[in-house]
Amino acid sequence: MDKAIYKNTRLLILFIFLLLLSYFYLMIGVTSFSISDVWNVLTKKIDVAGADFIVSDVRLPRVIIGTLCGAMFALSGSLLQCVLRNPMAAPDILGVNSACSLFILLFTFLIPNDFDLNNLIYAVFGGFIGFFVTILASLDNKKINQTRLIIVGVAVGALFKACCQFVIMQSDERQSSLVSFLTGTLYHSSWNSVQQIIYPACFLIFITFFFYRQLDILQLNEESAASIGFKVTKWKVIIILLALMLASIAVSGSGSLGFIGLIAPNLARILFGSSHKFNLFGSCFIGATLTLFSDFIGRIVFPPFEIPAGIVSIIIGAPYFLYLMKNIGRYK
Amino acid sequence: MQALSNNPNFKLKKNYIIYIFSFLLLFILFLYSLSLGPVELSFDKVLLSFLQSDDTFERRLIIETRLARTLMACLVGSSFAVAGVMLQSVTKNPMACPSLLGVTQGAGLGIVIVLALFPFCPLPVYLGCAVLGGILAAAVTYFIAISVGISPLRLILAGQAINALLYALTQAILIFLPTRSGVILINLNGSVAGANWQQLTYVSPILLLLIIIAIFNIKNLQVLSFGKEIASSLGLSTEFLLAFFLFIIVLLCAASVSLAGPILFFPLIVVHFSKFIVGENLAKQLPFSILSGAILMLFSDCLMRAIFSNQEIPVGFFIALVGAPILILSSRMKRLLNNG
Repeated sequence: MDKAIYKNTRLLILFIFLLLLSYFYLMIGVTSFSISDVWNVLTKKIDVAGADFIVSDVRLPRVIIGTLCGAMFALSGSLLQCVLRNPMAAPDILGVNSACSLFILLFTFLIPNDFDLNNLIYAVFGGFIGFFVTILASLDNKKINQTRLIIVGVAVGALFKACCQFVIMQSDERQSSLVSFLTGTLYHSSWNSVQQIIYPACFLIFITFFFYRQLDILQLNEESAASIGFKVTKWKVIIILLALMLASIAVSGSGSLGFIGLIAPNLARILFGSSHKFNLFGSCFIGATLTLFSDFIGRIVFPPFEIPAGIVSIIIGAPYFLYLMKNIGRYK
Repeated sequence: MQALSNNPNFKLKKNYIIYIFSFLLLFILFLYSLSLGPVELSFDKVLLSFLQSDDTFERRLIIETRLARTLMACLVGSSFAVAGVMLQSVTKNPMACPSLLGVTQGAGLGIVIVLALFPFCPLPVYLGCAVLGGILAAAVTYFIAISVGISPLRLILAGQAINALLYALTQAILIFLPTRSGVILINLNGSVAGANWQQLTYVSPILLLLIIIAIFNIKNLQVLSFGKEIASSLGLSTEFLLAFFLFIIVLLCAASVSLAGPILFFPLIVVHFSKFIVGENLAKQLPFSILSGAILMLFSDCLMRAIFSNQEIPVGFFIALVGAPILILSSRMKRLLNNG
């Protein structure tokens, strides 16, 4: 019981930190505003000159998309790490993200349509393809070799990324913006894109929290899970599908943000233990915080230039990946 | 067949045929590469322009642009190939490739940094920064690999993380490069399009010298792969040999990157291709990889130019497309299945 209180407190602290970060995000930038200015804009009390547009039409959508996509990448990473029993599994490392990007690019390029639900369907389709290519290529006597899975994922990711670059080269318009889509960025967030992903995103995030019992059982070894009458394969498939949908929709919102789906679940495990009841919430908040933080740093380091959030998250995440490799004795 | 292949004469004959065939292929590709382009030229025109000395438009086109590009593709291909063969022999890892251990991207980062600071720096400085970047990246990967344990798969994973980091830093710096950034972007995928004689004449002697050094050191490479005892009984220190070969590998890669940008996966493709053709023996593999590297690079470039005649597609794109499956296949090799 005591432990639960600790964990609740930690969650609350994380949540408050996320709110504060969002508020700072709205305040600070090339033009900065005071605390009261932002508050007035958000509550629509007084029309502050200039602040209205910058805060509510430029920065607020970025905060919303960043929070949602970060949370989705993190949850997707949590689910994949649990099902594959591999702390280094994550949607971007298994090649899911770049496959999503490729399909989104292909279909926006071949069938010019404004952002609508079609796009999400293409993304999910791409995510499935990327994941299954990776899994099939790393199967060895119907078993997955854990370390090889990661390498194969990286190779599949590189393959799809090369295809993406090729598609971008074929299109003349908005070339630079498409390049930043490859590394993940919140630069293109608008109320339009918020509208596009907010319902599926919220629905999927909400649904994920109901699966914490199944995830806990999946962490056991398969014999014990089966012995209590738990249908292991069925739940594995359901959870992988959920993870892929989460990752795909996140990619359609922000492009492929690197390493968020890897770091957040691991940090959550350190802070909240391996029981998924708190762990999922923790992973969700940490992912959102990391994404917002990456974008925030990318925006304020060298104004007026912007470094895409994905670049910053790789610079933060790659050293952590190495640290993880060092500390996991399981991969000899 | 078994009896036949044990016959030394048969082996000699087989090698002989392979080399003749390769040279022929290289020659045809060379001519084809010179004749390819917006201005279509026939083979006989290409040959004539070498024999005649009068200053025609075709001759200038071939000598000044296409010949530089063709020679650069051959040179870069060979250098990457030799670096790849040496690295695989040193690490005994069928997945090892300079571009997967951060060396290539490190050299790329060095180049981008020097271009950001001094847009018009002299060539030696440019080359020096590429070498420095490559050496630093290789050193970081090496020390990290030591700390995580050098199993073949983990070495590649560590290299991939370093690669991602270097790529991100490169991209971040590119954001501040408004001038000529398009050229660099193409170059960062690896391309032989930007060939010019000035660079070529400066870098090619270095590359050729390094390749010759590599050929003269085949025996030492083999000694190194036999292990410490044998090396020390021959009066050689494994540490010194290892450092020396790694240095040669980094130099080869960095100089190639300064010409053509970071072309990922290429060494891996060539190594596995030459293993497939001439077998695992290093004394055969290294000389053959020089040829096959040139052939494969030239072939890739010609293919891209032939298919996409109206635009410049970097050769690195095609090579990544071929290389990724080869990496997957090499990670599934029997040797790694037991001790991944």
